[in-house]
Amino acid sequence: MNILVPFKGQAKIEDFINAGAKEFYLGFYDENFTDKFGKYTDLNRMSGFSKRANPFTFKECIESINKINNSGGSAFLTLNSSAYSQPIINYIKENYLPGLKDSKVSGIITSDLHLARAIREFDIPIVASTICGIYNSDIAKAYFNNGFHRIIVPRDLSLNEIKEITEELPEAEYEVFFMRNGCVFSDCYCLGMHRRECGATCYFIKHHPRRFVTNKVSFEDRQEIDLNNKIYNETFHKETCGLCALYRLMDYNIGSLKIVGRSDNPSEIIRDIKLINTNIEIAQQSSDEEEYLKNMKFPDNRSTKCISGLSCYYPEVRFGA
Amino acid sequence: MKYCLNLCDLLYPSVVNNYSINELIRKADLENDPIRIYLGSSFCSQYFKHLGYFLRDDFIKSTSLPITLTVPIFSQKDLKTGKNLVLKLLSYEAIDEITVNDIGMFDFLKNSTDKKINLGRLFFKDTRDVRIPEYNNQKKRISLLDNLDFYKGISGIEFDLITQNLEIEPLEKITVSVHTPYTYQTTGNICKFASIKKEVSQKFRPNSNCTMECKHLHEFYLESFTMDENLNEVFRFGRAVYFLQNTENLENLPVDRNIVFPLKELSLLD
Repeated sequence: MNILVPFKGQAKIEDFINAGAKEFYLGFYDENFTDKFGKYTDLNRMSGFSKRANPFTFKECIESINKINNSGGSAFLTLNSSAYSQPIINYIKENYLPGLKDSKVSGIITSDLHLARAIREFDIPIVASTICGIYNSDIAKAYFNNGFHRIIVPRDLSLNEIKEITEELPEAEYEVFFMRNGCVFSDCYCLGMHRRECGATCYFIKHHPRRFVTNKVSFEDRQEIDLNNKIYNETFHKETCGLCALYRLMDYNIGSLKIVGRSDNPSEIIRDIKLINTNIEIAQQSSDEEEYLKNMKFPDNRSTKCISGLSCYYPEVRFGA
Repeated sequence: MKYCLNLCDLLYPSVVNNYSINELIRKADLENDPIRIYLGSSFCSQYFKHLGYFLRDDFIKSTSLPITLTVPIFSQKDLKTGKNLVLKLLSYEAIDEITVNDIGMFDFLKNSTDKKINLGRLFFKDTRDVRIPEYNNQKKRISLLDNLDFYKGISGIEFDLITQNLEIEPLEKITVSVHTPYTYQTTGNICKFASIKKEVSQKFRPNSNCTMECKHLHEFYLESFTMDENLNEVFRFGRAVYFLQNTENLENLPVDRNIVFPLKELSLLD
């Protein structure tokens, strides 16, 4: 079971590898692309956050992929915007795919069946981004049959659902969200801008004044609505974690655990890698899930993070389905 | 351009309260008489399951209009049930076409039904954002139109007005439909409203079973939602967040159907 982390170059690759990460994902920016297609056209999901999330030029990105390969790691490149027109696909094919093929990138994380057609021509492994929205085994099979060998499972699926999908399509490799950021909407179908000037829609909504229109008029009903709203806005998925689910995910033969946060501080990511790695060792030494849950190590901020499962990717482990 | 009435995500309370489809057509009070009704849901498999169990053949026969069944994405736990329900509803004669929203359901139905299949609004994933007027005013082409050959055998496509200045070329043999007056900006498997009555540790679970709290409640966002501080109508209805889109330029587009969502007229019916 591998740990996959974002790579932006602020820390040495060796620091991540020594902490226990083996896989890296990264993106790049290209001013020529922006000049041609406009500032609101994204190369990948995080393009709107500019160099903060994608600090590399394409050339620097290739250099980073080579460094990762030379350090014994695997590099995955993100081309996972929510939609690509054919002119953009043609541009990617002409300007990026030949260089990526030569770089021996371990995979391109993409969101688009039509872009995948172009990637296949270059014989580069294709990873289904969470932007593909693989919510069930029928969708998984459709993507697999179109050349996606590895699937990133959406973060809004339960463990049982993940298990069933892996059982229905055991030929694929799977990657799951594991540490740092949750999402209250679907990565795949959240189509508002994710940009510095406006933030994501979820953040905007949480902090926006609202009015409920309801035909529920009793005091008790309104209490429930308002309390639910407060918990949703203030507590739910503040900083998300999947550590308690580790034993089950190993049992399901999940290949990679994803730490997200392309904008986050690398020292925090290294801390998370070490914690996951410690828990992988504990899980491997445990005879069953109960033993793992008893001995596992928690995040330092468990006193706030672990309350009522609201920051859990998979709350069903501790709080029931 | 013909008008269609979109009762997706709206019909369930009406079914339970014995409103007929013809009464709903009257209440919706569209600018032109609708030529077709849309039932089901684009966004919520829980809603679809609730509706599907209640929806009777004689209820939908109460209108002479043809009906499109809209099918949401079923997450794994509901996949088998959802597919069986879809096949049951497709056996109703009044339903003459189906709109799917994921490639798995498309692959399943192209081998399971002779009825027409449309690609639904969730296939069309271009960015849309009412907060950025500069973008929302832009001329914009729908990306997937370049690659419709990928989905052989489809009869129609449905999408949102991702900006108020869409550019669409006429398509041969494919019915082009747009959703108005609201554009959906975001949605997901986690329903805020479904958790209202749940204990804290059970709240906000993805695709959790519910008791249709959404039929009693919407959430409107107040004050300016846009970066230029113009007021705009933005709200959460069910699992999706929508905004009111400017439809002034719609008449100039080669669009066959305008699928109108009468939220204000038909929601919160008792």
